[in-house]
Amino acid sequence: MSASAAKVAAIAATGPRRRWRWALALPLGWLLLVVFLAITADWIGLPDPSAQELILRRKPPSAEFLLGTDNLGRDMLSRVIYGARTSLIVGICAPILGFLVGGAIGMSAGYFRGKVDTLAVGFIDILLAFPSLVLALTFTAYLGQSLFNVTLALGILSIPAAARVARANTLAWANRDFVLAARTIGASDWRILTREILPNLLPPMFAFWLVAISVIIVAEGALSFLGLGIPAPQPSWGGMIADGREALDVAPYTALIPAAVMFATVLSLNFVGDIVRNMVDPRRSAL
Amino acid sequence: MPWLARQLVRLVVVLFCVTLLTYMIVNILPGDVAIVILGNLATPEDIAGLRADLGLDRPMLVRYFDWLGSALSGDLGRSYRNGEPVVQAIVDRLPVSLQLMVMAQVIALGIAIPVALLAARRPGGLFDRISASAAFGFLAMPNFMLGIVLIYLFSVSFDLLPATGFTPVSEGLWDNLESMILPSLTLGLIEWTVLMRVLRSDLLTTLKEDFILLARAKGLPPWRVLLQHALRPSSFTLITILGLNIGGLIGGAVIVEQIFALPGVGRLLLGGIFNRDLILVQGTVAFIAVGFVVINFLVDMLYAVLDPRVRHVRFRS
Amino acid sequence: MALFSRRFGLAATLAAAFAVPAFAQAPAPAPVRGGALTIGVESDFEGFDPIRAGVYSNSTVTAASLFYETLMRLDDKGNLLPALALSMTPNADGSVWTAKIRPNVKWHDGTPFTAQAVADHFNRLLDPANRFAGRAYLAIEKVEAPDDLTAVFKMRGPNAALPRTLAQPTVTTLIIPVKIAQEKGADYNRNPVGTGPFVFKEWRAADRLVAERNPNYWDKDKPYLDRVTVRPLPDSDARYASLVKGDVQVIWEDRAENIVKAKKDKNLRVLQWVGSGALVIPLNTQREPLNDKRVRQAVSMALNRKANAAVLTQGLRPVHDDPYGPSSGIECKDTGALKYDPEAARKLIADYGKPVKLTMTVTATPRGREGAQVFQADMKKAGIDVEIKPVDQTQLVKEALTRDFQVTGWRIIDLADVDPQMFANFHSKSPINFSGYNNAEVDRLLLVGRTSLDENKRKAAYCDLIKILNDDAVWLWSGSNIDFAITRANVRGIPALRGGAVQVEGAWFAK
Repeated sequence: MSASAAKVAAIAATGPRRRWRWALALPLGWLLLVVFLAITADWIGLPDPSAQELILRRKPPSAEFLLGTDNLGRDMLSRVIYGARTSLIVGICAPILGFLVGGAIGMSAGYFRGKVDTLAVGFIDILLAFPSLVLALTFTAYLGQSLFNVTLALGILSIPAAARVARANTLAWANRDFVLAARTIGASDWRILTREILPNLLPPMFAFWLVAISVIIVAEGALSFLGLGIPAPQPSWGGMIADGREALDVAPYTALIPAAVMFATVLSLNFVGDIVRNMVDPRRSAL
Repeated sequence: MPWLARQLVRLVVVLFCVTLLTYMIVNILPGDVAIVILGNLATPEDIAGLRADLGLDRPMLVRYFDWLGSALSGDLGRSYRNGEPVVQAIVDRLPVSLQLMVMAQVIALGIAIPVALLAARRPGGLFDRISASAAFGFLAMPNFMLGIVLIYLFSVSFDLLPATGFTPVSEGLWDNLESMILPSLTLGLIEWTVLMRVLRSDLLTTLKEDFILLARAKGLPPWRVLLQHALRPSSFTLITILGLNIGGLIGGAVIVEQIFALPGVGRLLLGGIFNRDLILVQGTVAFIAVGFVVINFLVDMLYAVLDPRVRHVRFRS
Repeated sequence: MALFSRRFGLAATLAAAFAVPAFAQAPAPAPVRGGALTIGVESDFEGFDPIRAGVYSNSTVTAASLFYETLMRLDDKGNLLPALALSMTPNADGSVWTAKIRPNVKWHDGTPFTAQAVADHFNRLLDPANRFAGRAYLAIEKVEAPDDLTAVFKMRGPNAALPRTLAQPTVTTLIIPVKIAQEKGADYNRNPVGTGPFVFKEWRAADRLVAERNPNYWDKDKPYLDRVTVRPLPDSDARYASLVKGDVQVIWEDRAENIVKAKKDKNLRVLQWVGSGALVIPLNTQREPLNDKRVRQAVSMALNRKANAAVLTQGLRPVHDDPYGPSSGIECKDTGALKYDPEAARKLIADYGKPVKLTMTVTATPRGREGAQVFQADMKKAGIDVEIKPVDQTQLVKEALTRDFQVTGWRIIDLADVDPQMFANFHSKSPINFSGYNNAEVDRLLLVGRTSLDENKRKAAYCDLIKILNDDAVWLWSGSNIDFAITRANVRGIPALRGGAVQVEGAWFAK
């Protein structure tokens, strides 16, 4: 999953692009809808996502089951929406964890340079060279499979990417006039980092975070496939795709529906991320 | 410190930390290899006896430094589970993983470079937007899904390629390539998206530079400007990502290896962890760590080749 | 298989079932020589030295029976046939068996196969110093070889089932050359030598194992194939696709979806075998709240075993009220099984008076997930909360061995005689009584089953036993042991899939 880390860094690094205000509405609307449903899932009269009726397994979409039923006869619509909750929790929280740790490391490295930088780079090297499989397996096997532990594991795996972005951006800001000015008037390093550099770091990190969400959502699916994801019966999009894969020819919709929802979400996150990045791109504003 | 010496220190430090960390981590997993071997009929006495035989009853750090000692003298030991020499196991599997990784990256680059060039020509244009959507589409595709779809498409429906399995080069280059196309495609179709987006954005930045404007002013056709002047200085991030991908893929392609039944390093590692075969896991992790450091070392060298101004600069986003 | 991985249970398959032919062999024309066959199995092999490997998965038995052989053999109807032994005869009370060894059989390295090799093989497994876990099931005291062609089995007590036990290919019964194994040391596990129809050629780990026709095989006509390759294909769907594509000609399979599909496919044939034993859900009787009989009974009544299996396996896996299986020969008129009745279950829980929360430990596999979720949903209807705890195989075994679980998934393997496993699982003094079950009457009945020479008395004892176990709701029987293989339509001559192993000694390709 260091490959995922690379992915995040890569996509986050993608650059300026013409603003598409008109194109913002659709993805943003979709994201808002998904978030809204994920939050309100309990109150909109959905059937229990883990209520089974085995006799009704793998029924195609109908008036009763708008999106059909899955391999255990559970309502797909309800599962997709509750799955949004799981996938979003993991997708949103894991990168935040990565950002808190990775961001701190990256900022210190970029600001202090020298030994701190060497140490930080070394630490990130170790994280990257450490097989993510071992880490993910250990977390879930030793600490038990739970939403929290899966999020923790994916969060740790996103530290290197976050550190990279933070470091690169800090390097760019650390020599700017206002930082030097703050230093000459005797501001402490802590003050400069938090008051001068951090605010400038947040916009690109935010854009990056949007992209990271989509990568983490897909990564959770891979964990589910290996049996290491969120434990059943709690649905997640990746887990639903993994389950539906077994019946691709009999009931393709059991895999395709969560896949389509995931696709739309990833697409939207990236589009919105692109636009946000264009608004804040440091390379642009630096010119 | 000279550059080469620094790289060496880096290798040693990374190796030491990664193997020690792995050792500690795999050690705390519930159950051990003695239970795996003895199975569900095991008596406590047999388990204790076997643990003693395998040396698992000694303190963890003692075992780790024992391992380190013999590893330094070139002996990675034998698998606890099946007695296979660890070096042999890795040497058997590494070519498969390396080939998979190289072919996947070739496919990814083969798609990414032309698409990025086309997209960067007219940013915001129709092609740019379509390619972006396609890229995110593939990014959202879990590889366990893509793999089985490709099998049904190319080997069952069109009857073109073998569905599963690996054929070594010694049994014919073509057969070998055939057996690796679908797995590489599965990885490549997902990887190209990242490479494309990175290259495109760096191209856009480069295209604003003075020397490009100069080349344009000289009246060079846009294609020549893109290919001859812009591509090379735009490939730094691309190469960094490539390096990271390759590192990640050595052990991280486990899902693809499992679906296509390839005897790669990822499955070796996964099996090792499931069997609590510490000595096998250790050897494999050490190999992957060396591979990671070496590949990133090569990436640094490539930087210098691509742009002599850049030396020692790595880790640039 | 339901809740756990295949290798379980097959761990120490020792004996054969009273065979019931589960599929009819086509009235065969004469077999044709030649051809290369590839078999797709589920997992890579542990190795081929029983001591080192410890257990053979059914994938490993499939590979091992290419080059190893048993003393006796069973045909599809369950009749005993001679193999490495020409005959086996008991003394008066069945406590000593004498095997006449087939003359002029050679190991693949050319050295002669003798009774001493048979004795060495079994004595090596029995020696506690070697820590062969499967010895727990063996009723043999020791084996002696008075001359080259006579092996004498001294039993721990009267034992009628020995020849059948030795006829099913397992990690214990497939005979290896101890002398050669000791000479080769650690390498033997990966370079086996046997007497069988095929000679081991190479094993590329996680990729393929190749064996070639043994030209000096004692059965002159066999084998018909020139070469057999066994490939571990872990992904079930990819394995099926490989068969449809024709990359492999036989696969072991357990996904109902694929089996149903294959039955409709003219190019494929489905082989199936219902063995003895069963898939089971053990309840830990030592742990709160399952130490209360009412709670266990409620769990038993809340689980809709038959309907669940009918839907999930699309009717492929029968469910019985005992773990004996149709091929054990034990048929009980009254099993005392508790009927599916969620209402009654609710009442029992109410009677118990406290909220019931259970944790079910299962393997983190699609199958484990499926079975656990169905269990969970059924329990919910009776007001029992179940939390699913997915773990890997090693951890599952550890939890079972240390009784550190409440509910789990397990398997009683396909054995000829029910005694070894029933005794091991339910006798209060058995070290592998995972449920911690302790019932004096059950102990007594198990001893009757073990020692009585009167077959009817034994059967009656096992029927009395099942009534107590069902009433006490110790283990729940979630389905029979059934194994499937799918072949290309032109593959012939694969016998019953005893223990889930595909044996190809007599396989050939029809034109």
